[in-house]
Amino acid sequence: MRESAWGFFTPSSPMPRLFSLLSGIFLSAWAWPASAQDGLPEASWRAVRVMTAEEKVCLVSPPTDASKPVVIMLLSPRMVYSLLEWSRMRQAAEAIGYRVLSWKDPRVPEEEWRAALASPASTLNDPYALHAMPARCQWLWRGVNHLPMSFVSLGSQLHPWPVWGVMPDEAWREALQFRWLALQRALVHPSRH
Amino acid sequence: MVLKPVFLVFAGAALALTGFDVLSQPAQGARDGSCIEAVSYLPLDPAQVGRDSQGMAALGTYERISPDGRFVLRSFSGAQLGQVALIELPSEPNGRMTVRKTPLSNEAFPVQGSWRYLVDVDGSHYRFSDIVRQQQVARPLFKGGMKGFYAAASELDRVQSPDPSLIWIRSMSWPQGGRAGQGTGPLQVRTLGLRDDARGVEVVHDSGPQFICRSREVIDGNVYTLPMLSVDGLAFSAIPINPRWGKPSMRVYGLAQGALVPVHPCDLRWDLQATPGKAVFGFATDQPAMLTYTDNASVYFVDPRPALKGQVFRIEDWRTQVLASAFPGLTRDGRIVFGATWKDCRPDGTCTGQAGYVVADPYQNPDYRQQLQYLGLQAPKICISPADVLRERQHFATQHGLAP
Repeated sequence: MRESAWGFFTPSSPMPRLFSLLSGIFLSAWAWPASAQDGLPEASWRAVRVMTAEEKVCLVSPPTDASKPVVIMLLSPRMVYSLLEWSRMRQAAEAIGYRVLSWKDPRVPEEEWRAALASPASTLNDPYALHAMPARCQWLWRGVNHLPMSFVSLGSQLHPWPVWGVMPDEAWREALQFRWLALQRALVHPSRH
Repeated sequence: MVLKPVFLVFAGAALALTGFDVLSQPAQGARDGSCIEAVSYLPLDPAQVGRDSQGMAALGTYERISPDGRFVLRSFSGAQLGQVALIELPSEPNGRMTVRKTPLSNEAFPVQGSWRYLVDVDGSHYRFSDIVRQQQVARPLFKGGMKGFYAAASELDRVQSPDPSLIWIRSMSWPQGGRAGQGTGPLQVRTLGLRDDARGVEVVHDSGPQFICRSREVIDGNVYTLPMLSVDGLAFSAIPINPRWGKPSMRVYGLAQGALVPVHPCDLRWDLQATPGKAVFGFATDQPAMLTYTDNASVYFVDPRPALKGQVFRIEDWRTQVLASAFPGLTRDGRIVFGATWKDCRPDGTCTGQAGYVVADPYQNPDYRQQLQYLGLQAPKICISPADVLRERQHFATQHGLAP
């Protein structure tokens, strides 16, 4: 078994960011029921780690407002639902306050990408929001087993548990906010890492 | 390579035992014709399915393998995004591959076990043989069961149904409709009882969508992803991505035996303690069904017998730079089939890129054989023989009224 390039489940020490925490409180308070916050498992927030310099350059470029949670979506036309459901899932995430950064699988030739986006089946009406990743970032995709694959980050912190595949809005929102809550919790309890 | 504490991949020579020349077995078997090749490579002609900029086929990652290994339902990428082809693999490695167009879209799925029907994502059921013969102009027989993304279906054993004269099909997917049900259960199953005769198909029983696994929320949370139903419809694999305990991992859960039982146990059968691509089930015999999956572009299989739990075996590469490009499937006789790219290299060092299919016999896998011997376990069979393959192809062809 090979270790994922993402370093899944590798906890490391987060950097406290009080501003991020305070500015996020409003969003988490309305988006998550109290019962969900009570049920946040320790393993989830202990998994939060600081992004590597390469991850920052490759995944969160241009740099984003550190107070706003980010969804990093990795997409490929070879998993057809990546493209067909992407607009809906991106809009659902933006509607609850996330910035969404969407990346094209660099292992897929550009010609194949163009052909897929121009195909009759493509429902994409906002291709400007889909970004090409520099060739030097290709190594980040080595451990990717299923696409789309999404991660949630806040400032320099990354929740390394991926959200694999597409799903209905309700499940998608729950998956995102589970991770965002863990990111916030990790900022409050950095000493316990 | 990193060895994880529970999931070990056995290096070829790590557990070599005296008196059992493991590595010579597959070659000997293949030479004398008693076994199929341990691993064989079937290149796909890109002209048949469309080329990408590198001259290779622009295929998707989603694929399903028929019980006899003859047919592959596969999605497209590139200009044919959203379309689905039915690819017919040859019986011999040097045989010709046939690609048929279908009226299906996205991740259309077969009714596992029999492949009696192929199901489009809107729930339209097509007779498999109609698509073989009529291709794109085939017409659906009826609509029903679960639909939408990541749906899967299986034919249930009729003995466990209230009316064995009917065909029973269980399907599974995300909850559908207004999504008011996420709090009621993270996944849904639906079971149909069908009468299929010369007049057509009649839906005699319909369980309606049933929420499942609500009781697991305190452990697994309320969102599972990459669900896959077993071939017998009595289990499924999925990753709980918001677990209340531990970390996300691919797990196998049980479903009710009875066709119309309203409550499903969702009992945890197995935790792979890894997060691979979709875990696809094989056929259960007197032994539990194997599972196969991709991880980091390699294909692995696991034998769920208790003594072998925690161990995973990798399909060997007999060509250069073999990368799985689609998720694998298991035939009834146990072959593992998957789409891949690889390079054919000549002695002078020149290499040609290929896309196509890999067919592997897990029973000839040296690591698997060595581990069985080490544990004193019997292999379900020594190897898969050409006669096994022929038997499955003939059985499937007869079942669907096709030429073998």
